[in-house]
Amino acid sequence: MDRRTEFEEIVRRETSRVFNVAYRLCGNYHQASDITQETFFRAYRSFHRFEGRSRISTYLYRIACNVWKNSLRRNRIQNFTSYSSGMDVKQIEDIAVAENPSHGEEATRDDRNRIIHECLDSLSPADRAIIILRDMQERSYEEIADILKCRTGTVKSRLARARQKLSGKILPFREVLNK
Amino acid sequence: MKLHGNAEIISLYMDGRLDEKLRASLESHLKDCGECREILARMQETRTLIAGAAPVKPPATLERDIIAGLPERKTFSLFFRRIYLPAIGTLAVMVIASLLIREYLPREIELQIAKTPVREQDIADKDINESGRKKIETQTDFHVAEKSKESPVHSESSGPPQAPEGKTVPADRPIAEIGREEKCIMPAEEKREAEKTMIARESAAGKPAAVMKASKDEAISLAYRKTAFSPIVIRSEDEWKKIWHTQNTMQNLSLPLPEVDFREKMVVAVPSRIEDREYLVVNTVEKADKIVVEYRELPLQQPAPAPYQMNVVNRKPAVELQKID
Repeated sequence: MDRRTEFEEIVRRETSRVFNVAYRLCGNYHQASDITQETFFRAYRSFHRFEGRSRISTYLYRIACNVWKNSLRRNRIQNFTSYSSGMDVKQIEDIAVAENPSHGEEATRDDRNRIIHECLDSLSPADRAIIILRDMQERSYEEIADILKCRTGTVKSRLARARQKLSGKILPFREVLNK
Repeated sequence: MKLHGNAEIISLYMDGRLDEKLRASLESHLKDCGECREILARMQETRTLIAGAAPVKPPATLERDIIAGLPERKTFSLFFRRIYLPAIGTLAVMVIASLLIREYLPREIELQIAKTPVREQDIADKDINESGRKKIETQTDFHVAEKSKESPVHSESSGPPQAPEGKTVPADRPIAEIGREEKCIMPAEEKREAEKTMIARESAAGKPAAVMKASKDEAISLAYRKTAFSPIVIRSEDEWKKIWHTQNTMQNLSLPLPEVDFREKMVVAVPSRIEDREYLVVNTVEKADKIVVEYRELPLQQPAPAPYQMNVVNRKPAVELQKID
């Protein structure tokens, strides 16, 4: 199997996971697509340097986080992460309707997504990334430290802080989220 | 360690990251502390809610778009990145560094380089010997091949070269021209040897060519003139600067250049020492059509005199040396 074929296999296997991380990070469906594409493009360019010492998903998450951080810097003025801008809710609802006829069920799911995004949006980018990687993607502390290029101790303290802050934001919506 | 209200410990406990001892302590504390139990409960519920968020389906075409957007890998990319680009970069840095050195090399360092240390001479001489060439003795200044011991011109003479007594040097030509003429007298083989010695020395000293204040031709001509003990006639500002620089360098001095009006004047420079003999200029006489420099030959004196004895005289078409007893 040549490297391109091998990488295409990785694309098929990991696209959904990378997209979801990107989507939780930026809260924008279109931007998540762009970040995912850019992530795989960069990963392929430096794929010859990937030595397999970490999981391929860790490698891809690291690139995705960097792409996302770069986009944050580029768009510092434009607050694209605000899920409540309405545009993305509508887009997701349209996609949900197109892909699944049971519109009501998808709408409830999108409500949950919207609330979660709004809550995540209240965190700093670094804290948000740690919560997503730990509590949504179930990555170990060491992997998170590897992805975010920081020490494990930093991950521990930031995670505790982020969890406390997030609990204050998300728990008032527990009834909607548990529906 | 403080346990009460410590969110980090509680967070680690929730993820099963506490060691046995600390976990037991915290569990014991939690039994008695409602506040910490509340923190733990809130964190656990938050994690459950977050983890329960349904995954979002990516666009159906995303996979295909990603694969279509992957660049074709070029076979030379590794060579290009690892060898070609670093080589070009290194070359560029070297070129820039050499330009900067030439531009900004302080004069003091330049003077130090101009003075050839003995070790460098040895290396250069060794190179010449190894290549089966004749050894050429030199002064320790100016990188000038002063005399070739086996020079055909002086080979019959066991002592130092004798001054061409009464020889008249035309003074109506610049120093470079005189040098060229003298070179014509110099046998071709000796000239080649002198050039090779020059190049070997410069190479051994790692000295940039720009540091040389006199060109190779001028240096060779100077060497020959010194060997033959003849006067150097300076008729222009440029030549004056060169010989003044040489004089200063050889004595470790940096005296200011004396002003000479070369429209009416010229400078006659006579070497003070050739091998183991010294030449003392006693008098400089101006005649209608020439300058006569009267000198006396002496045994070696200590300390060594200045390399040249220079006199500013009125411009004349010729200069003649005259030995007196």
